[in-house]
Order: sequence, then C-alpha cells, then structure tokens
Amino acid sequence: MSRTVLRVTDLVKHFPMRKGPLRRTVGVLKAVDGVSLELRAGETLGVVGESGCGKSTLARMLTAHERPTSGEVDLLGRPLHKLRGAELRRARRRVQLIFQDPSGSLNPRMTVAASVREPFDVNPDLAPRGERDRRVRELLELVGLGPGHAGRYPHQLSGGQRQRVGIARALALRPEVLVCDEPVSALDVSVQAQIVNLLERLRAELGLAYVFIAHDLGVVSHLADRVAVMYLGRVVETGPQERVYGHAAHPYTQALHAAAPLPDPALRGDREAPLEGEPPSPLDPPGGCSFHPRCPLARDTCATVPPPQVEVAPGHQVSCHLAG
Amino acid sequence: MPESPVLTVSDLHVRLGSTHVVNGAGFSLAAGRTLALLGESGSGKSVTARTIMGLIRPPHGRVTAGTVLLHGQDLLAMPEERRRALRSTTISMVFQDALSALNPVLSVGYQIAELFRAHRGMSRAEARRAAVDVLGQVRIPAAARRAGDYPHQFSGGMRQRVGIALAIALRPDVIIADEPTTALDVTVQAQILRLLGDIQREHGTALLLITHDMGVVADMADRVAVMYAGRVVEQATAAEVFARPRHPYSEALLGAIPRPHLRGRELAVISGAPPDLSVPDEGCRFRTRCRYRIEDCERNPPEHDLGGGRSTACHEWEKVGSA
Repeated sequence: MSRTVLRVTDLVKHFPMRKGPLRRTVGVLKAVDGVSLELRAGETLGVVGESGCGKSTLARMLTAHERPTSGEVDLLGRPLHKLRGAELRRARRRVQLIFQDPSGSLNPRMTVAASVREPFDVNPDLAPRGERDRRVRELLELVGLGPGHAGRYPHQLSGGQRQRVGIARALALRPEVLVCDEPVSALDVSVQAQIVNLLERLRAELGLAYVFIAHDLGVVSHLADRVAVMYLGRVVETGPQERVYGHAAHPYTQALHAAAPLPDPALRGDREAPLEGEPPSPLDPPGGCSFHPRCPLARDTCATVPPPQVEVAPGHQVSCHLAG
Repeated sequence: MPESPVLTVSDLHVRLGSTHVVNGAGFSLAAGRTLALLGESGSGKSVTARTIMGLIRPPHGRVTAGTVLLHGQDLLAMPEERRRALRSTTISMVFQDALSALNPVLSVGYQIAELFRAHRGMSRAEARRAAVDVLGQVRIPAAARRAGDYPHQFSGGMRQRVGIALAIALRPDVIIADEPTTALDVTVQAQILRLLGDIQREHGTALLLITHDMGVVADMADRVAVMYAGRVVEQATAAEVFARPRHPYSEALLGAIPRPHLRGRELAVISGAPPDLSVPDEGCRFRTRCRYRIEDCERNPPEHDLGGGRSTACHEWEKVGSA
C-alpha cells in the first residue's frame, strides 16, 4: 500500500456568530465537526455533500487557508495546523487549492504568463531567475494552453481556460496534493470533460494525489478511488468508490444517489421518493444523529445518541445506528 | 406528433446588440407534454424563452424574424396589451432564481393574491384564500402562516416553490421553466422536479424546460430540442436522443458526461470553442468542431425531417450516432 500524504484527525472548525453593537457571541456555527480522513500518494479522494455540509471549510483547512479550531492536519509527516511563518509557507507549497471560479484568484490586470510566473517571484528558490520563463512555458503547455494564450488577460479567456491557468499556477509550486473545491461546477458539460481529463492526465504524469470536492456525484464517481460523504460537518460514510456507489450503507448516501438524475431515460420512474426537507442550519444541528429529522429509517435512539462508526466492509465506514 | 401543439416557435431570430443570439430556432410543444430545450451557455436557450415571454425588448434586444404561436395566435405580432393579458393566465415562467421574480418588500401571499385580483377580479379576502391554496399546492408547510412571510424568509428550495406557485396560480396552459433547479442542492432539486411533474400531470400543463443538465432531461422530458449557436439542431423524443443521437453536437454532448462505464477512461471532448455569434456565417455553426465535417457544411444544413416528429440539422446525419 502506498504511503499516506495527507491525514486529518478529528478536525473541527467552529465559527463564532456575533451580533449586535458589542459583537457578542450568540452562537457557534459548526462548519466542520470532527472529520478524520486519509489520502494516499497518487490517490483521488472524492468528497461529496450539499451546501453547508462543510466541504469548502474542510478544503481551506487542508490547504492551511484556515486554521482548525481543534484537530490535526498532517501533511507529508508535518503538522500543518501547528506551523507558522516561514515553516508554514514552505509546507503549504506541497498542497495547493484549486477554486471553483479561478477568476477570483486571478489578478484581472495580470497576463496569463505573469499570473503563472508569480509563484516563482514569491518563492525565489523554486527556480533561478533565468529559468522561470521556460518553466512558465512548460506549465502552460502542461495544462493545454499554447504560447498564444500567454499574453492574454483573464477576461479574454473562457471559463475552461481560466481554470487551466489556475491549475498551472498551483502546479508551479510542485505540490504533491491538489485540493480541488468544485473545480468543474461552473463549467459547461463539454468544457467540464476537458478539465476532468486534464486532471486525470496530470495525476498520472506528475503522481499527484487529489482531494476532489464536488456536489456532482457523476463527476466524483468518474475520478475518485475513495469517496467520503459529508452531512452537516461530519463524514457519514467513507469507502472505496465501488462500495459507496454500489453498496451505499448510510441512508443519506442512498438518498443522494436516489436524488441524482441519471442521464438515462430508461431509468425514469423507478426512483425512490425524494428526501424531504432541506439540510438544517449548522448553527443549530439536531442532536443524536444530525440526519435523523430527514431520515426515513430513523428510530428513537437516532434522536438522542450520536451514531457509532461501523466498518461494514474493509475500508468502508458508516456512521449510522442501523448499519452493520 | 399527432398531438396538437399549444406553442410553436418557428424560424426565430433574435439579436442582442450586434450578436445574433438566436438564429432560426424552431420547435413545438404539445399540450400537457414536457419539451426540454437543452444547450450549453451561449446556445440561446434562455433568450428564446425570454422572447416567448416578451421579456426581450428594445433597446436591449430585437426580434428580427420568426413567429411564436400560442394556440395559433402569433405573440410577436400582438399588441403589448393583449400579450400582457396572456402572461400568467395562459403562459407563465419559473426563473432559475425565484428572488428575481419576487418583490422583496411585499409578502409572498400578497404577490400571489395580486394575480387573482388583477386577472380574476377577486376581492381581497377571496384572493388571499386563493393564494394560500396555491401555496398549499406547491407543498409549502403551514401555507396560511407563511403567506405573510417575505421572500428573504424562505430557503432556496421553498423560494423556488413560491416561484412555481406564482407561475401556476392562474392555471396557464404553458409553463416555461428556465433552469429551475440549477441553483439547488441535489436532494432539493429532486423535490422540485417531482413537484413540477406532479403539477403538470394534475393540471395538464405543457412544460418547456430549459436546462443544460442531461440528467434532468432524461428524468423529465418527453421530447428534447437540442440548441447550438442559436439554432435547434436536433428534435426527438428523450429516449431517441439518448439511444441514438442524430446530430454530431448531441452525440458529442452525450459523450462528455461521466457515466459508470466510462470510469477510468478519457471523456469525449468537443474540441475548439463555440462560434462568435456577432460574425455572420453561412455554414453550419458546428462545423469547426465537428468530426463529420464535409464540404457541404459550408452552407447551413436544412432541417431533415426523419419522421415521427424527429428532425436534425445535419448534412451527414445518417452517419451520426452509429458508433
């Protein structure tokens, strides 16, 4: 088995909610509430969940954009959550974040080449000055952009091309792990396919490991080796792709699968009734199992006792009273 | 199609500024059926929908040719006053973001009641009861109480239900839904799609569903019109398009979605980029990205009628979809 490149243990992020003129704390938003995950070299871990489940906050903690309230982020044997200053800057090069909308991370007044060159200016030890232009050309080529694109500005690019620039910038730092937060959600289907293919090719060529966060079950199924399903700040099910898709054991995962419209008219009609209600607010999550108010199988214990984590098959864990 | 169409769009051309956003789009929608208008961004599907609703007006946009027949009457040739009378009563629209269709400073019950007062001449009290009734029909819990709430007090999914309530209040024959679930989570999307389907069956409404999502098409549509660069390039039943597309663009789109049997393989990619619609072009708009391209593609292909309501705008349609 390949080595672990990223390991998070009991990761928690609480945001205090303040209100009024004195900014008094009136509540705590439990964005991420005890997540443990492991990512191995060359592997893609898919993370799925609906809005508010904490997947983006998780992404920001994995890449040291956000400091956890408690818990550990271990990146290539270094405790990312403890590092500060120069040490942190060096360590976080190995893990890079790819955003849903790269226009937010690209300077509108910088050309493509300048944007991709910027990481070298910030980290001069990456490449000697004389080699940087060559590295920029290589990186652009690697993500499928030609020399013709180098002089363009972000607004002159399509959404797919901007995403390629975002990926090139991230790769400049020679990371081992890419955390992709909804990287294809804003793109048209045909463009989405290009970026999905590009990510797959880069993984093979550069030996990258991915944490691939998305709400689209189809895309995650295509890319992921293992999948983690999040609900209200917790991982409710995790396991190999074929287990989580073929033998989903958590009622929420099953509901997600049932709700996702499949591109095949022949399957119409045999879908189960959709889950009722909407995810509750992470400001005031329900007690016991946080899914119980929407769960079609909920029993009395579910409302009071947090579910234990059960291993239903090798590497396939489920947090549910009814599993196993 | 043996069923008589309630809505027929023919040879529609719409310009926004110098851009020819819609270039001869045409399709028809049968009573009580669902037609999906499928396309990527820039295909002209939303502008087509807004043109039908009369929301594209000078100076922003101009309809340069075409007809939109609703029960045989051309909406585009009609005085604005008559057209306004048909909106909500005969044809209505659900938007992607219900907030854009709602007034933020009026309660949702009041806004729905206004429709009954304006078009049905109901009294305040009657209209309010009718509004609560409609909110109940879209399965908003405690409808009588929530009728007094303002749009911002509703969650995304509930807000979309309010948008649907506004659209169905006067029992129109046609509802146009423009990406009604795109902004919603998947479990909420499933609820809203099911609601739209239920309402359509109960009321016998025809639904024009505008979407980019092939999963939604497969789930909801009886028929599909695939749009590319402002033109409908293929029309068929949903089952036919998925089983055997007859236009290269439909075929390419279907190849680009991740499906279980494609795992671990490269997804098919449509090379190149959509055309610049401000530049006139006599040929097929898809030819620069098409793998079936021949010399004939320099002239715009006619719509080939394949029988049974099926058509394709491709010279080489016989070769498409056989792989």
